[in-house]
Amino acid sequence: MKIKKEEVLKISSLSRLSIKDDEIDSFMENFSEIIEYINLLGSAGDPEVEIEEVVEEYSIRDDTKIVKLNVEEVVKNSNNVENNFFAVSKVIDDE
Amino acid sequence: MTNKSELLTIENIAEGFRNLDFTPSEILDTFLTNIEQLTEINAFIEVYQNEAKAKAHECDKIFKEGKSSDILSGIPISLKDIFLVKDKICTCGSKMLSNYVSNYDSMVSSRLAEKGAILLGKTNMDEFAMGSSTETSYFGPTLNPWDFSRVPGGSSGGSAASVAGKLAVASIGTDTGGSIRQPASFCGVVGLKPTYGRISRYGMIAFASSLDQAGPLTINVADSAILIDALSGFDDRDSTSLKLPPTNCYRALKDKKFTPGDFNIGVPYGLLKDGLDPEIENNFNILIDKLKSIGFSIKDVSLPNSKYAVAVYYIIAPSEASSNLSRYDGVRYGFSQKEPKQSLDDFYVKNRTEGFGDEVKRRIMLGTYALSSGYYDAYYLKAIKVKKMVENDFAAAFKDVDCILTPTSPELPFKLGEKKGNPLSMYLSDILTIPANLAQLPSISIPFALSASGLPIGAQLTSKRLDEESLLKVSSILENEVGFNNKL
Repeated sequence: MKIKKEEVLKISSLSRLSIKDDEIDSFMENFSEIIEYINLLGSAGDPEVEIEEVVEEYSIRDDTKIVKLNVEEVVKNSNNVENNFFAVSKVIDDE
Repeated sequence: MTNKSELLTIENIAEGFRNLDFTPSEILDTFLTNIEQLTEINAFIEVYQNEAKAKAHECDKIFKEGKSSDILSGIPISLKDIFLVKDKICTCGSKMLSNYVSNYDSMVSSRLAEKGAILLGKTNMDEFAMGSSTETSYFGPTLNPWDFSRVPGGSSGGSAASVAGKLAVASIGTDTGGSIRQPASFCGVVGLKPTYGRISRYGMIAFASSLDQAGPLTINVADSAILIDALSGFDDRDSTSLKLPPTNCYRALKDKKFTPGDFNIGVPYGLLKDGLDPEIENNFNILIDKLKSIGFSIKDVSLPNSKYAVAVYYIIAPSEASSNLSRYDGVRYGFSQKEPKQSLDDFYVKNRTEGFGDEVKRRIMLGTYALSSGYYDAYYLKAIKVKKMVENDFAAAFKDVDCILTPTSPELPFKLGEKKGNPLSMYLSDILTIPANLAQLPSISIPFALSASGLPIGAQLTSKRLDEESLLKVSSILENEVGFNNKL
Protein backbone atom coordinates (compact mmCIF):
# COMPACT_ATOMS: atom_id res chain seq x y z
CA MET A 1 0.00 0.00 0.00
CA LYS A 2 1.63 3.19 -1.21
CA ILE A 3 1.10 6.12 1.14
CA LYS A 4 0.50 9.38 -0.70
CA LYS A 5 2.49 12.53 -0.11
CA GLU A 6 -0.63 14.39 1.06
CA GLU A 7 -1.26 11.71 3.69
CA VAL A 8 2.31 11.99 5.00
CA LEU A 9 1.95 15.76 5.22
CA LYS A 10 -1.35 15.44 7.06
CA ILE A 11 0.08 12.95 9.58
CA SER A 12 3.19 15.06 10.13
CA SER A 13 1.00 18.07 10.78
CA LEU A 14 -1.13 16.10 13.30
CA SER A 15 2.13 14.97 14.94
CA ARG A 16 3.44 18.56 15.11
CA LEU A 17 6.47 17.59 13.03
CA SER A 18 7.70 18.85 9.70
CA ILE A 19 9.52 16.83 7.09
CA LYS A 20 11.94 18.52 4.73
CA ASP A 21 11.13 18.39 1.01
CA ASP A 22 14.28 16.44 0.19
CA GLU A 23 13.48 13.80 2.84
CA ILE A 24 9.88 13.19 1.93
CA ASP A 25 10.43 10.57 -0.77
CA SER A 26 12.57 8.25 1.34
CA PHE A 27 10.22 8.77 4.26
CA MET A 28 7.22 7.80 2.12
CA GLU A 29 9.00 4.72 0.85
CA ASN A 30 9.91 3.44 4.34
CA PHE A 31 6.52 4.35 5.73
CA SER A 32 4.70 2.51 2.92
CA GLU A 33 6.86 -0.58 3.39
CA ILE A 34 6.08 -0.66 7.12
CA ILE A 35 2.34 -0.16 6.58
CA GLU A 36 2.38 -2.92 3.99
CA TYR A 37 4.01 -5.27 6.52
CA ILE A 38 1.53 -4.27 9.23
CA ASN A 39 -1.33 -5.08 6.87
CA LEU A 40 -0.30 -8.72 7.41
CA LEU A 41 -2.68 -8.47 10.37
CA GLY A 42 -5.56 -8.65 7.92
CA SER A 43 -4.86 -12.37 7.55
CA ALA A 44 -5.11 -12.97 11.30
CA GLY A 45 -8.88 -13.41 11.02
CA ASP A 46 -11.31 -11.63 13.29
CA PRO A 47 -12.20 -13.92 16.15
CA GLU A 48 -14.24 -12.84 19.12
CA VAL A 49 -11.71 -12.27 21.87
CA GLU A 50 -12.21 -10.54 25.19
CA ILE A 51 -9.91 -7.54 25.11
CA GLU A 52 -10.82 -5.97 28.43
CA GLU A 53 -7.80 -6.22 30.73
CA VAL A 54 -8.59 -7.25 34.28
CA VAL A 55 -5.42 -7.39 36.32
CA GLU A 56 -6.20 -8.16 39.92
CA GLU A 57 -2.80 -7.11 41.21
CA TYR A 58 -3.11 -3.50 39.96
CA SER A 59 -4.22 -0.80 42.34
CA ILE A 60 -4.69 2.92 42.31
CA ARG A 61 -3.43 5.01 45.22
CA ASP A 62 -5.75 7.03 47.40
CA ASP A 63 -6.88 10.26 45.78
CA THR A 64 -5.08 12.54 48.17
CA LYS A 65 -2.91 15.58 47.56
CA ILE A 66 0.83 14.98 47.51
CA VAL A 67 3.32 17.83 47.21
CA LYS A 68 6.44 16.59 45.48
CA LEU A 69 8.14 19.57 43.89
CA ASN A 70 8.17 23.31 44.49
CA VAL A 71 7.59 25.79 41.68
CA GLU A 72 11.27 26.66 41.22
CA GLU A 73 12.08 22.98 40.70
CA VAL A 74 9.22 22.55 38.25
CA VAL A 75 10.26 25.42 35.99
CA LYS A 76 14.02 24.93 36.10
CA ASN A 77 14.14 22.88 32.88
CA SER A 78 12.33 25.46 30.78
CA ASN A 79 14.00 28.00 28.51
CA ASN A 80 11.07 30.36 28.66
CA VAL A 81 10.09 31.27 32.20
CA GLU A 82 8.73 34.57 33.50
CA ASN A 83 8.01 35.06 37.19
CA ASN A 84 7.92 31.32 37.77
CA PHE A 85 5.42 30.79 34.95
CA PHE A 86 6.06 29.03 31.64
CA ALA A 87 5.99 31.74 28.97
CA VAL A 88 4.50 31.08 25.54
CA SER A 89 3.47 33.40 22.75
CA LYS A 90 0.00 34.90 22.83
CA VAL A 91 -2.73 32.56 21.63
CA ILE A 92 -5.49 35.22 21.54
CA ASP A 93 -5.58 37.82 18.78
CA ASP A 94 -5.40 41.51 19.68
CA GLU A 95 -8.49 42.33 17.65
CA MET B 1 44.58 -5.33 41.38
CA THR B 2 44.61 -6.24 37.70
CA ASN B 3 42.67 -9.45 38.21
CA LYS B 4 39.89 -7.93 40.30
CA SER B 5 37.61 -7.49 37.34
CA GLU B 6 37.94 -11.20 36.61
CA LEU B 7 35.80 -11.72 39.71
CA LEU B 8 32.99 -10.09 37.86
CA THR B 9 29.83 -11.26 39.54
CA ILE B 10 27.88 -9.57 42.32
CA GLU B 11 28.09 -12.79 44.35
CA ASN B 12 31.89 -13.03 44.13
CA ILE B 13 32.57 -9.38 44.72
CA ALA B 14 30.21 -9.25 47.72
CA GLU B 15 32.01 -12.24 49.23
CA GLY B 16 35.37 -10.55 48.66
CA PHE B 17 34.11 -7.44 50.46
CA ARG B 18 32.89 -9.46 53.43
CA ASN B 19 36.19 -11.35 53.67
CA LEU B 20 38.09 -8.06 53.38
CA ASP B 21 39.98 -9.45 50.36
CA PHE B 22 39.49 -6.07 48.70
CA THR B 23 37.49 -2.89 49.30
CA PRO B 24 34.65 -1.25 47.36
CA SER B 25 37.02 1.63 46.48
CA GLU B 26 39.54 -0.79 44.99
CA ILE B 27 36.87 -2.54 42.94
CA LEU B 28 35.44 0.79 41.80
CA ASP B 29 38.89 1.96 40.68
CA THR B 30 39.27 -1.18 38.58
CA PHE B 31 35.98 -0.52 36.81
CA LEU B 32 36.70 3.21 36.36
CA THR B 33 40.04 2.27 34.78
CA ASN B 34 38.30 -0.17 32.45
CA ILE B 35 35.80 2.56 31.48
CA GLU B 36 38.67 4.92 30.70
CA GLN B 37 40.47 2.32 28.63
CA LEU B 38 37.40 1.45 26.59
CA THR B 39 35.86 4.87 25.90
CA GLU B 40 36.03 3.93 22.21
CA ILE B 41 32.94 1.70 22.49
CA ASN B 42 30.86 4.65 23.73
CA ALA B 43 28.95 2.61 26.31
CA PHE B 44 28.40 5.51 28.71
CA ILE B 45 26.72 8.88 28.19
CA GLU B 46 27.89 10.08 31.61
CA VAL B 47 30.11 8.56 34.31
CA TYR B 48 29.44 9.63 37.92
CA GLN B 49 33.08 9.33 38.95
CA ASN B 50 33.11 11.66 41.98
CA GLU B 51 29.82 10.53 43.48
CA ALA B 52 30.78 6.89 42.92
CA LYS B 53 34.10 7.38 44.69
CA ALA B 54 32.42 9.06 47.66
CA LYS B 55 29.88 6.26 47.95
CA ALA B 56 32.60 3.59 47.66
CA HIS B 57 34.47 5.31 50.46
CA GLU B 58 31.37 5.08 52.69
CA CYS B 59 31.03 1.40 51.83
CA ASP B 60 34.72 0.80 52.66
CA LYS B 61 34.00 1.88 56.23
CA ILE B 62 30.94 -0.36 56.55
CA PHE B 63 32.92 -3.46 55.60
CA LYS B 64 35.94 -2.44 57.66
CA GLU B 65 33.76 -2.09 60.73
CA GLY B 66 32.17 -5.46 59.97
CA LYS B 67 28.64 -4.02 59.82
CA SER B 68 26.03 -6.12 58.04
CA SER B 69 24.98 -4.85 54.67
CA ASP B 70 22.99 -5.77 51.58
CA ILE B 71 24.57 -8.02 48.97
CA LEU B 72 24.52 -5.01 46.60
CA SER B 73 26.53 -2.82 48.98
CA GLY B 74 29.56 -1.41 47.16
CA ILE B 75 28.68 -3.06 43.81
CA PRO B 76 29.24 -0.72 40.81
CA ILE B 77 26.14 -0.78 38.60
CA SER B 78 25.37 1.20 35.44
CA LEU B 79 21.91 2.49 34.50
CA LYS B 80 20.37 2.97 31.09
CA ASP B 81 19.95 6.71 30.54
CA ILE B 82 16.17 6.34 30.73
CA PHE B 83 16.03 6.27 34.57
CA LEU B 84 15.90 9.58 36.39
CA VAL B 85 18.60 10.27 38.99
CA LYS B 86 17.88 13.46 40.95
CA ASP B 87 19.93 16.49 39.85
CA LYS B 88 21.55 14.51 37.02
CA ILE B 89 20.95 14.89 33.30
CA CYS B 90 18.70 12.20 31.81
CA THR B 91 18.93 12.27 28.01
CA CYS B 92 17.03 9.14 26.94
CA GLY B 93 19.54 9.14 24.06
CA SER B 94 17.88 12.22 22.56
CA LYS B 95 18.81 15.77 21.63
CA MET B 96 15.35 16.61 22.99
CA LEU B 97 16.49 15.83 26.55
CA SER B 98 20.22 16.51 26.18
CA ASN B 99 20.04 19.18 28.91
CA TYR B 100 17.16 17.81 30.98
CA VAL B 101 18.00 17.73 34.69
CA SER B 102 15.96 15.20 36.67
CA ASN B 103 13.82 16.63 39.46
CA TYR B 104 13.49 13.37 41.33
CA ASP B 105 14.80 9.81 41.55
CA SER B 106 13.33 6.88 39.67
CA MET B 107 12.30 3.94 41.86
CA VAL B 108 15.11 1.90 40.27
CA SER B 109 17.87 4.41 41.06
CA SER B 110 16.64 5.15 44.59
CA ARG B 111 16.22 1.45 45.45
CA LEU B 112 19.73 0.63 44.22
CA ALA B 113 21.15 3.54 46.22
CA GLU B 114 19.28 2.45 49.37
CA LYS B 115 20.76 -1.01 49.03
CA GLY B 116 24.24 0.47 48.92
CA ALA B 117 24.95 -0.10 45.21
CA ILE B 118 27.28 2.40 43.55
CA LEU B 119 25.74 4.15 40.54
CA LEU B 120 28.57 4.23 38.02
CA GLY B 121 26.77 6.36 35.48
CA LYS B 122 24.32 6.34 32.58
CA THR B 123 24.60 4.11 29.54
CA ASN B 124 23.92 4.85 25.91
CA MET B 125 20.68 3.76 24.25
CA ASP B 126 18.60 4.12 21.12
CA GLU B 127 16.74 7.41 21.20
CA PHE B 128 13.70 7.03 23.48
CA ALA B 129 14.45 3.26 23.43
CA MET B 130 13.33 3.06 19.80
CA GLY B 131 15.77 0.78 18.02
CA SER B 132 17.58 -2.54 18.08
CA SER B 133 21.17 -1.41 17.54
CA THR B 134 21.85 1.71 19.70
CA GLU B 135 22.58 3.53 16.43
CA THR B 136 19.67 5.96 16.81
CA SER B 137 21.27 7.59 19.89
CA TYR B 138 21.92 11.34 19.52
CA PHE B 139 25.27 10.61 21.22
CA GLY B 140 26.54 8.24 18.53
CA PRO B 141 26.44 4.46 18.36
CA THR B 142 27.81 2.07 20.96
CA LEU B 143 30.18 -0.59 19.60
CA ASN B 144 29.91 -4.29 20.41
CA PRO B 145 32.83 -5.20 22.74
CA TRP B 146 33.20 -8.54 20.92
CA ASP B 147 33.72 -6.88 17.54
CA PHE B 148 33.95 -3.12 17.27
CA SER B 149 32.61 -3.16 13.71
CA ARG B 150 29.28 -4.56 14.93
CA VAL B 151 26.32 -3.23 16.88
CA PRO B 152 25.72 -4.24 20.52
CA GLY B 153 21.97 -4.59 19.88
CA GLY B 154 19.46 -2.25 21.40
CA SER B 155 17.88 -0.35 22.74
CA SER B 156 19.81 -1.11 25.99
CA GLY B 157 23.03 -1.50 23.96
CA GLY B 158 25.16 0.69 26.24
CA SER B 159 24.05 -1.35 29.25
CA ALA B 160 24.86 -4.68 27.57
CA ALA B 161 28.23 -3.39 26.32
CA SER B 162 29.09 -2.03 29.78
CA VAL B 163 28.61 -5.47 31.35
CA ALA B 164 30.25 -7.44 28.52
CA GLY B 165 33.19 -5.01 28.37
CA LYS B 166 33.72 -5.27 32.16
CA LEU B 167 32.89 -1.60 32.63
CA ALA B 168 30.18 -2.40 35.20
CA VAL B 169 29.32 -5.44 37.30
CA ALA B 170 25.70 -5.24 36.17
CA SER B 171 23.34 -2.80 34.51
CA ILE B 172 19.64 -1.99 34.56
CA GLY B 173 17.93 -1.62 31.20
CA THR B 174 14.38 -1.58 29.86
CA ASP B 175 12.60 -3.92 27.49
CA THR B 176 9.56 -2.92 25.40
CA GLY B 177 10.01 -5.39 22.54
CA GLY B 178 13.31 -7.09 23.37
CA SER B 179 15.50 -4.15 24.38
CA ILE B 180 17.13 -6.04 27.27
CA ARG B 181 17.24 -9.55 25.79
CA GLN B 182 18.44 -8.81 22.24
CA PRO B 183 21.46 -6.68 23.32
CA ALA B 184 22.21 -9.26 26.05
CA SER B 185 22.29 -11.89 23.29
CA PHE B 186 24.47 -9.73 21.00
CA CYS B 187 26.95 -8.99 23.82
CA GLY B 188 27.11 -12.42 25.47
CA VAL B 189 25.52 -11.50 28.81
CA VAL B 190 22.34 -12.48 30.67
CA GLY B 191 19.32 -10.17 30.24
CA LEU B 192 16.07 -10.57 32.16
CA LYS B 193 12.73 -8.95 31.37
CA PRO B 194 10.45 -9.66 34.34
CA THR B 195 6.65 -9.96 34.21
CA TYR B 196 5.09 -6.63 33.22
CA GLY B 197 4.50 -4.63 36.40
CA ARG B 198 7.10 -6.42 38.57
CA ILE B 199 9.48 -3.45 38.70
CA SER B 200 7.99 0.01 39.11
CA ARG B 201 8.17 2.35 36.10
CA TYR B 202 8.24 5.41 38.39
CA GLY B 203 10.85 7.81 37.03
CA MET B 204 11.47 5.71 33.91
CA ILE B 205 10.89 7.74 30.75
CA ALA B 206 7.88 6.29 28.93
CA PHE B 207 7.98 4.84 25.41
CA ALA B 208 5.04 2.38 25.21
CA SER B 209 3.67 2.25 28.74
CA SER B 210 1.70 -1.00 28.42
CA LEU B 211 4.85 -2.87 27.34
CA ASP B 212 7.80 -1.06 29.02
CA GLN B 213 9.50 -3.09 31.74
CA ALA B 214 12.82 -2.60 33.55
CA GLY B 215 15.20 -5.46 34.23
CA PRO B 216 18.83 -6.44 34.83
CA LEU B 217 21.70 -7.25 32.47
CA THR B 218 24.30 -9.35 34.27
CA ILE B 219 27.20 -11.73 33.84
CA ASN B 220 25.26 -14.71 35.16
CA VAL B 221 21.78 -15.91 36.15
CA ALA B 222 22.34 -15.62 39.92
CA ASP B 223 23.13 -11.91 39.58
CA SER B 224 19.88 -11.37 37.65
CA ALA B 225 18.06 -13.12 40.51
CA ILE B 226 19.73 -10.81 43.05
CA LEU B 227 18.68 -7.73 41.09
CA ILE B 228 15.06 -8.71 40.41
CA ASP B 229 14.70 -9.50 44.12
CA ALA B 230 16.11 -6.06 44.95
CA LEU B 231 14.01 -4.08 42.48
CA SER B 232 10.62 -5.86 42.44
CA GLY B 233 7.72 -5.15 44.78
CA PHE B 234 4.72 -2.86 44.87
CA ASP B 235 5.14 0.90 44.36
CA ASP B 236 2.03 3.08 44.62
CA ARG B 237 3.57 5.71 42.34
CA ASP B 238 3.09 3.46 39.28
CA SER B 239 -0.54 2.46 38.70
CA THR B 240 0.52 -0.70 36.84
CA SER B 241 2.92 -1.82 39.57
CA LEU B 242 1.80 -5.27 40.73
CA LYS B 243 0.56 -5.36 44.31
CA LEU B 244 2.86 -8.24 45.21
CA PRO B 245 5.85 -8.64 47.53
CA PRO B 246 9.37 -8.69 46.06
CA THR B 247 10.51 -11.93 44.43
CA ASN B 248 12.73 -14.33 46.32
CA CYS B 249 14.50 -15.93 43.38
CA TYR B 250 18.09 -15.83 44.62
CA ARG B 251 17.36 -17.99 47.64
CA ALA B 252 15.41 -20.43 45.45
CA LEU B 253 18.50 -20.77 43.24
CA LYS B 254 20.86 -21.20 46.18
CA ASP B 255 18.70 -23.94 47.72
CA LYS B 256 19.47 -26.01 44.61
CA LYS B 257 16.41 -28.17 45.30
CA PHE B 258 15.60 -28.65 41.62
CA THR B 259 16.67 -30.88 38.76
CA PRO B 260 16.02 -30.95 34.99
CA GLY B 261 13.43 -33.66 35.61
CA ASP B 262 11.24 -31.07 37.38
CA PHE B 263 10.65 -29.08 34.22
CA ASN B 264 9.13 -29.51 30.79
CA ILE B 265 10.48 -27.25 28.07
CA GLY B 266 8.47 -26.29 25.00
CA VAL B 267 10.00 -25.37 21.64
CA PRO B 268 7.75 -23.63 19.08
CA TYR B 269 9.24 -25.39 16.05
CA GLY B 270 6.56 -23.94 13.77
CA LEU B 271 7.67 -20.40 14.58
CA LEU B 272 11.34 -21.25 14.09
CA LYS B 273 11.10 -22.99 10.73
CA ASP B 274 11.96 -19.89 8.67
CA GLY B 275 14.33 -17.01 9.00
CA LEU B 276 16.97 -18.25 11.44
CA ASP B 277 20.63 -17.68 10.65
CA PRO B 278 21.96 -21.22 9.88
CA GLU B 279 24.68 -20.95 12.51
CA ILE B 280 22.13 -19.99 15.15
CA GLU B 281 19.86 -22.83 14.06
CA ASN B 282 22.68 -25.40 14.26
CA ASN B 283 23.83 -24.27 17.68
CA PHE B 284 20.24 -24.16 18.93
CA ASN B 285 19.67 -27.77 17.82
CA ILE B 286 22.86 -28.84 19.61
CA LEU B 287 21.58 -27.06 22.75
CA ILE B 288 18.27 -28.93 22.60
CA ASP B 289 20.07 -32.27 22.31
CA LYS B 290 22.21 -31.36 25.27
CA LEU B 291 19.17 -30.40 27.37
CA LYS B 292 17.46 -33.67 26.48
CA SER B 293 20.58 -35.62 27.45
CA ILE B 294 20.60 -34.14 30.96
CA GLY B 295 16.98 -35.02 31.63
CA PHE B 296 14.78 -32.16 30.40
CA SER B 297 11.61 -33.19 28.64
CA ILE B 298 11.37 -31.21 25.36
CA LYS B 299 7.97 -30.82 23.68
CA ASP B 300 6.82 -29.15 20.48
CA VAL B 301 4.43 -26.29 21.31
CA SER B 302 2.32 -24.18 19.00
CA LEU B 303 2.25 -20.38 19.07
CA PRO B 304 0.33 -19.82 15.83
CA ASN B 305 -0.28 -16.10 16.28
CA SER B 306 3.27 -15.11 17.26
CA LYS B 307 4.01 -14.65 13.55
CA TYR B 308 1.85 -11.50 13.80
CA ALA B 309 3.74 -10.20 16.84
CA VAL B 310 5.93 -7.68 14.99
CA ALA B 311 2.93 -6.25 13.13
CA VAL B 312 0.94 -5.98 16.38
CA TYR B 313 3.90 -4.38 18.12
CA TYR B 314 4.43 -1.78 15.40
CA ILE B 315 0.86 -0.60 15.87
CA ILE B 316 0.58 -0.67 19.66
CA ALA B 317 4.04 0.66 20.56
CA PRO B 318 4.04 3.63 18.14
CA SER B 319 0.43 4.46 19.07
CA GLU B 320 1.39 4.71 22.72
CA ALA B 321 4.60 6.54 21.80
CA SER B 322 2.72 9.13 19.74
CA SER B 323 0.69 9.92 22.83
CA ASN B 324 3.53 9.68 25.38
CA LEU B 325 5.90 11.83 23.33
CA SER B 326 3.33 14.56 22.73
CA ARG B 327 4.53 16.02 26.05
CA TYR B 328 7.78 17.12 24.39
CA ASP B 329 6.73 20.51 23.08
CA GLY B 330 9.66 22.54 24.41
CA VAL B 331 7.53 24.62 26.77
CA ARG B 332 8.05 22.98 30.15
CA TYR B 333 11.25 21.05 29.42
CA GLY B 334 13.20 19.59 26.55
CA PHE B 335 14.89 21.17 23.57
CA SER B 336 13.44 24.54 22.66
CA GLN B 337 14.23 27.57 20.61
CA LYS B 338 14.77 30.83 22.42
CA GLU B 339 12.48 32.74 20.11
CA PRO B 340 9.00 32.70 21.54
CA LYS B 341 7.81 35.40 19.11
CA GLN B 342 6.16 33.01 16.69
CA SER B 343 2.87 31.17 16.73
CA LEU B 344 2.62 28.55 19.45
CA ASP B 345 2.04 25.85 16.85
CA ASP B 346 5.17 26.83 14.90
CA PHE B 347 7.10 26.83 18.17
CA TYR B 348 5.99 23.23 18.91
CA VAL B 349 6.74 22.05 15.36
CA LYS B 350 10.23 23.59 15.30
CA ASN B 351 11.18 22.21 18.73
CA ARG B 352 9.92 18.72 17.93
CA THR B 353 11.37 18.62 14.43
CA GLU B 354 14.81 19.68 15.64
CA GLY B 355 14.74 17.79 18.95
CA PHE B 356 13.73 14.33 17.69
CA GLY B 357 15.74 12.02 15.43
CA ASP B 358 14.39 10.29 12.31
CA GLU B 359 13.37 6.98 13.92
CA VAL B 360 11.46 8.70 16.72
CA LYS B 361 9.65 10.89 14.17
CA ARG B 362 8.81 7.82 12.09
CA ARG B 363 7.31 6.02 15.07
CA ILE B 364 5.34 9.04 16.30
CA MET B 365 3.88 9.38 12.82
CA LEU B 366 3.18 5.66 12.53
CA GLY B 367 1.25 5.85 15.80
CA THR B 368 -0.57 8.99 14.74
CA TYR B 369 -1.54 7.22 11.50
CA ALA B 370 -2.78 4.07 13.30
CA LEU B 371 -4.88 6.14 15.71
CA SER B 372 -6.20 8.62 13.17
CA SER B 373 -9.81 8.82 12.12
CA GLY B 374 -10.79 6.03 9.73
CA TYR B 375 -7.86 3.77 10.63
CA TYR B 376 -8.42 3.13 14.34
CA ASP B 377 -10.57 -0.01 13.93
CA ALA B 378 -8.46 -1.48 11.14
CA TYR B 379 -5.19 -0.99 12.97
CA TYR B 380 -5.27 -0.29 16.70
CA LEU B 381 -8.38 -2.29 17.61
CA LYS B 382 -7.29 -5.18 15.42
CA ALA B 383 -3.82 -5.16 16.99
CA ILE B 384 -5.27 -5.28 20.50
CA LYS B 385 -7.35 -8.33 19.51
CA VAL B 386 -4.41 -10.18 17.96
CA LYS B 387 -2.28 -9.30 21.02
CA LYS B 388 -4.87 -11.15 23.11
CA MET B 389 -4.66 -14.12 20.71
CA VAL B 390 -0.86 -14.22 21.18
CA GLU B 391 -1.43 -14.22 24.94
CA ASN B 392 -4.02 -17.03 24.68
CA ASP B 393 -1.56 -19.15 22.65
CA PHE B 394 0.99 -18.89 25.45
CA ALA B 395 -1.63 -19.79 28.08
CA ALA B 396 -2.51 -22.93 26.11
CA ALA B 397 1.16 -23.88 25.67
CA PHE B 398 1.87 -23.44 29.39
CA LYS B 399 -0.68 -26.14 30.21
CA ASP B 400 1.95 -28.62 28.99
CA VAL B 401 5.29 -26.94 29.64
CA ASP B 402 7.00 -24.73 32.23
CA CYS B 403 9.22 -22.73 29.88
CA ILE B 404 9.40 -22.00 26.18
CA LEU B 405 12.82 -22.03 24.52
CA THR B 406 13.89 -20.24 21.32
CA PRO B 407 16.99 -18.41 20.16
CA THR B 408 16.82 -14.79 21.39
CA SER B 409 17.58 -13.29 18.00
CA PRO B 410 17.22 -14.80 14.54
CA GLU B 411 20.52 -13.20 13.52
CA LEU B 412 24.06 -12.61 14.75
CA PRO B 413 25.16 -9.08 15.74
CA PHE B 414 25.10 -7.13 12.49
CA LYS B 415 27.54 -4.55 11.16
CA LEU B 416 27.18 -0.89 12.10
CA GLY B 417 25.16 0.85 9.42
CA GLU B 418 24.08 -2.44 7.82
CA LYS B 419 20.38 -1.75 8.30
CA LYS B 420 20.54 2.00 7.78
CA GLY B 421 17.75 3.12 5.52
CA ASN B 422 15.81 -0.12 6.04
CA PRO B 423 13.80 0.27 9.24
CA LEU B 424 11.56 -2.74 8.55
CA SER B 425 14.55 -5.07 8.48
CA MET B 426 15.62 -3.62 11.86
CA TYR B 427 12.09 -4.17 13.26
CA LEU B 428 12.10 -7.83 12.18
CA SER B 429 15.22 -8.54 14.25
CA ASP B 430 12.92 -8.51 17.32
CA ILE B 431 10.58 -11.18 15.98
CA LEU B 432 11.41 -13.71 18.73
CA THR B 433 11.46 -11.29 21.68
CA ILE B 434 8.28 -9.25 21.06
CA PRO B 435 5.74 -12.04 21.85
CA ALA B 436 6.73 -12.08 25.58
CA ASN B 437 6.15 -8.32 25.80
CA LEU B 438 2.73 -8.63 24.19
CA ALA B 439 1.78 -11.42 26.63
CA GLN B 440 3.41 -9.62 29.61
CA LEU B 441 5.52 -12.70 30.40
CA PRO B 442 8.91 -12.97 32.11
CA SER B 443 11.63 -13.82 29.61
CA ILE B 444 15.41 -14.11 29.73
CA SER B 445 18.34 -14.34 27.32
CA ILE B 446 21.29 -16.53 28.28
CA PRO B 447 24.51 -16.72 26.24
CA PHE B 448 25.10 -20.32 25.19
CA ALA B 449 27.42 -20.51 22.19
CA LEU B 450 29.81 -18.64 19.94
CA SER B 451 29.55 -18.46 16.17
CA ALA B 452 32.46 -19.56 13.99
CA SER B 453 33.44 -15.90 13.79
CA GLY B 454 33.45 -15.64 17.60
CA LEU B 455 30.17 -13.78 18.12
CA PRO B 456 27.91 -14.66 21.05
CA ILE B 457 24.55 -16.41 20.55
CA GLY B 458 21.76 -16.20 23.12
CA ALA B 459 18.99 -18.62 24.07
CA GLN B 460 15.68 -17.20 25.23
CA LEU B 461 13.50 -18.83 27.88
CA THR B 462 9.99 -17.55 28.62
CA SER B 463 7.80 -18.74 31.49
CA LYS B 464 4.29 -18.25 32.87
CA ARG B 465 3.29 -14.85 34.16
CA LEU B 466 4.83 -14.21 37.62
CA ASP B 467 6.86 -17.43 37.50
CA GLU B 468 10.32 -15.85 37.42
CA GLU B 469 11.42 -18.49 39.92
CA SER B 470 10.99 -21.43 37.50
CA LEU B 471 12.43 -19.30 34.71
CA LEU B 472 15.61 -18.63 36.67
CA LYS B 473 15.91 -22.21 37.91
CA VAL B 474 15.81 -23.59 34.35
CA SER B 475 18.15 -20.78 33.25
CA SER B 476 20.68 -21.65 35.91
CA ILE B 477 20.69 -25.33 34.88
CA LEU B 478 21.12 -24.29 31.24
CA GLU B 479 23.92 -21.89 32.18
CA ASN B 480 25.79 -24.58 34.13
CA GLU B 481 25.37 -27.03 31.30
CA VAL B 482 26.58 -24.85 28.44
CA GLY B 483 29.42 -23.42 30.54
CA PHE B 484 29.53 -20.18 28.62
CA ASN B 485 32.30 -18.00 29.99
CA ASN B 486 32.75 -14.42 29.00
CA LYS B 487 35.88 -14.95 26.93
CA LEU B 488 36.43 -11.29 26.24
